[in-house]
Amino acid sequence: MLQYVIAGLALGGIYAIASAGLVITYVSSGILNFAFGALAYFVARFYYFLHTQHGWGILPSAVVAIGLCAPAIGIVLYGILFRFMRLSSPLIKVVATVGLLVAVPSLATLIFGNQAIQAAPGLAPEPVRVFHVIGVPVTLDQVIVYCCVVATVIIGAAVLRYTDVGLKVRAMVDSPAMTGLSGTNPGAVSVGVWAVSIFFAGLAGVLAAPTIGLDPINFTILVAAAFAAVIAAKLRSLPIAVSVGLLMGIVTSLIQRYLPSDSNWTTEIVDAIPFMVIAVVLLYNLVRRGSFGDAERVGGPLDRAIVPQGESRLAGSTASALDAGSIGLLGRYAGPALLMVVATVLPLIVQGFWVGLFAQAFAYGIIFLSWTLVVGEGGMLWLCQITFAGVGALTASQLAVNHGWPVLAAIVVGGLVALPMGLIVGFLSIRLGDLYVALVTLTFGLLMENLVFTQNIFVNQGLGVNMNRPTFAGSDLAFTYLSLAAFAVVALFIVNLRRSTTGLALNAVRWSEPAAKTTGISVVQMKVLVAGLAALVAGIGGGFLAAAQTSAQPGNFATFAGIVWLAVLVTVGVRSNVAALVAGIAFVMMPSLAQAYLPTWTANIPPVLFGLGAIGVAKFPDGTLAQQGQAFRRFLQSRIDRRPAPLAVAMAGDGPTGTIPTGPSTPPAPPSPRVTQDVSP
Amino acid sequence: MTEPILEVRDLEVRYGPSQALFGVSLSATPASVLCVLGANGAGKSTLARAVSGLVPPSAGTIRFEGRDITGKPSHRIRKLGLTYIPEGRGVFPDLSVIDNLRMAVGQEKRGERPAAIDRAIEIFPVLGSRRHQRAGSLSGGEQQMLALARALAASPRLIIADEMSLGLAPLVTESVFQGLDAARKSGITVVLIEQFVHRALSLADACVILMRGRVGWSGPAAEAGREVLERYLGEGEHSAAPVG
Repeated sequence: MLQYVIAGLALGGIYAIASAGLVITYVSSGILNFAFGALAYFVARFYYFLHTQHGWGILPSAVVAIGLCAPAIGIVLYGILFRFMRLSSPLIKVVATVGLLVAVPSLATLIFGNQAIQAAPGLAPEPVRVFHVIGVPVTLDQVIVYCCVVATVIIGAAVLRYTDVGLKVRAMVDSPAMTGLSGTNPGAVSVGVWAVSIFFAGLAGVLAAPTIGLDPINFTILVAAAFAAVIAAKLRSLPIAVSVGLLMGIVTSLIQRYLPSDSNWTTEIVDAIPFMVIAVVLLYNLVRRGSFGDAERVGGPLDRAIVPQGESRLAGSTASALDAGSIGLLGRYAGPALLMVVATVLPLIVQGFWVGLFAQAFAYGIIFLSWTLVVGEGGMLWLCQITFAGVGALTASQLAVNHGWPVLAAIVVGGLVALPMGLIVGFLSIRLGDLYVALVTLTFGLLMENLVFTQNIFVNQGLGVNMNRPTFAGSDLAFTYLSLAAFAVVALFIVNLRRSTTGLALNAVRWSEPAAKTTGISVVQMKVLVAGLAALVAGIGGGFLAAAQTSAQPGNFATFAGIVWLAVLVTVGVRSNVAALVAGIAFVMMPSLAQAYLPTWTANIPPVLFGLGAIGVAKFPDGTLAQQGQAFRRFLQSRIDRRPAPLAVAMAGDGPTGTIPTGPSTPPAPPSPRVTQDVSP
Repeated sequence: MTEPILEVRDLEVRYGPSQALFGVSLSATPASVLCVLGANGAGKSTLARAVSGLVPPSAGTIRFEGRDITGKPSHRIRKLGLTYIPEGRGVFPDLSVIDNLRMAVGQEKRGERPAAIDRAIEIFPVLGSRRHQRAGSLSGGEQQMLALARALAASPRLIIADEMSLGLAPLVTESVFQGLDAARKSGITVVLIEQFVHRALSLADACVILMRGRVGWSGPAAEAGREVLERYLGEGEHSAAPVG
């Protein structure tokens, strides 16, 4: 019994340090750092680089990696990125940190090389000494974890409670604007907090490396588990986050005592524990309060009063249909039509292998359209579209191959199986707020990946299940065109949805939830509807992808791969159908082109670029393609239409390149400044 | 005529796409009370926020004690001696009373801080008995006393008090006004943003009336008679706002 508790405390200690690092940046900057695990990996990898690969001693390596490099990363990230995001919407904050999550591990590989690392040493000298406490073996690594946790708690509490620096941090958490008015620079406090947060990331990373190995995905899963503690603390309370982290470690360890140690089922349950904790906490809060309400609010009323509304949103308004007329038919449809022509001609030009890639690219395009729906129309960030695609693919292959269904019917039913999942996850998470949607969908994806996608009926000893293509479109070229047609159908559906009353209602919800409510729109209902449709689209896209690849591999639908997909799409543009197609082509073709024509080390560059692209939404919420499209249309308009441009150069919301205007001069419905109404407590 | 301690010239402020202030100019002489009046949404608080550095002006200049402070961050402006007590409750609700005061005197020399805190508590003794209470759990009046104590503890040269009487009982309002009057007598300039028009005018030396982001009228407080007030604040505003 005791040995399980002792082992559990080591894991719990790492959770506790990670959750402390996550909470402090959330309460002080309003940013929940999804890249925390990736940064932990980076520091741990750097420590390994110094200590193992360059033979530095433990102490100098630890001081340089954890003590200097980690805080420096925090300071740089704050200086170039997070400083500008204080006032951004939760959506943009999540996307930017997700971009970082995608970019950092590849960056680490580029810097430190990509050799496989079997075992990573911790802070204890090798071979690790083992003590016996009351008959229980304890490694020096574990002892170091305990010491770090105790030191973190004691020093942290003392600094926060008794020092001037701690007072300033607490004041900053209360209200940055008031802190500034009291003569303390809130920026300086933030820099310090970020430095400490990434220091914690580095510490957690180096401490965890001996147990979980130096693999970026394991680190992010570890931190996803620490999210459970952070959510239990309602993102704000340090003591609760640290205690729940410790407790979760102990429970994880204790449960293994009562489960058969030789069963796959045990590993699955153990992996799923943090996600069950999240589910329980969310359900409890949902039942008890219906909403987390203030949890997402950062700062005081004064801080909200001085924020201009309607700026820098990822999914603001689609322009009103009325403005579309001024752009002209040519301007509206030239881009999409041109791209469709190119997409139709390209597969005819290229040979063999590349034709098949186009079929995959168009299938990815369909999956990406589900984000166009849920992010672009619904204004929510879903991180589990890949899971829905996986559900669609696995269902379709089972039905088509093992039950002999017609392929297209199997693909559609695959989508229909994903649909209720989207509805349920949406129903549970949407009323809690944007940040929780991202957290819950991430959790749902990991849970499905651990519990469902691992079943042998899908895995089939690692081979996956074969997937047929429809008999009338058996060849690569024919199936490529079938995929393109399916993409066009879904894209047209989205165009029509935008034009419909439902689309208008969604637009209203994106601009202002309170205002939409007062006109009688049910916000939750609209968002759940979009979530369900998006799950359907993702499921169908998944079916097409499996057919393009001629097999359904559960391993292809790992949640973190989906985050890379999202980064790709966000880079190109998340509000436009055309962007989804371009993103699909780019995602499939870039690595293959790089593989065929460039040296192998360049394989790590696309993820870094896509990650940086996603980070770029902080500056260009519409994505790069949308920016270009907007510029192109302004150009067209100035050539074709000599009339003066209307005040709101609002782009056609229903044209497939429809983008949202951002920046001060263009929102179609200028929001009123929050001058007077929000200031009373 | 003495040199003005605060001088605002042609100030314009935008919140994103919408403009809140259009070419506002005003000035305050040392150790006087300047009263800023105006209907809801006239731009009073925006003016105060721009002067104190919370929102950046899009045009115009702000000079404090002859120094250009336009666009400076709020903590710099505070260090120069210009203190803004924001509308609502100008306290940190999650910090204790004593921590609120510690934050306020953070710019003083370390050795002088306890004395500054004691002085502040002397002004409003009720705060002394609430030392370790969360500021957010104080009554509205006590919170405003704390806000004013925070402002006075930091030895300011100018205080902008934004609607301090909002939502307070008349007796409490009176003690807040007395605190401001005492501050003026000790040589501090007060910019008073108020809804209690007549009480504010009785304290004020000069008066500026804002209308839809522009200066509608300005002059000595004594000349801001019934006609001026009715013309610029309107009967409706009058009857809605409590007349002190």
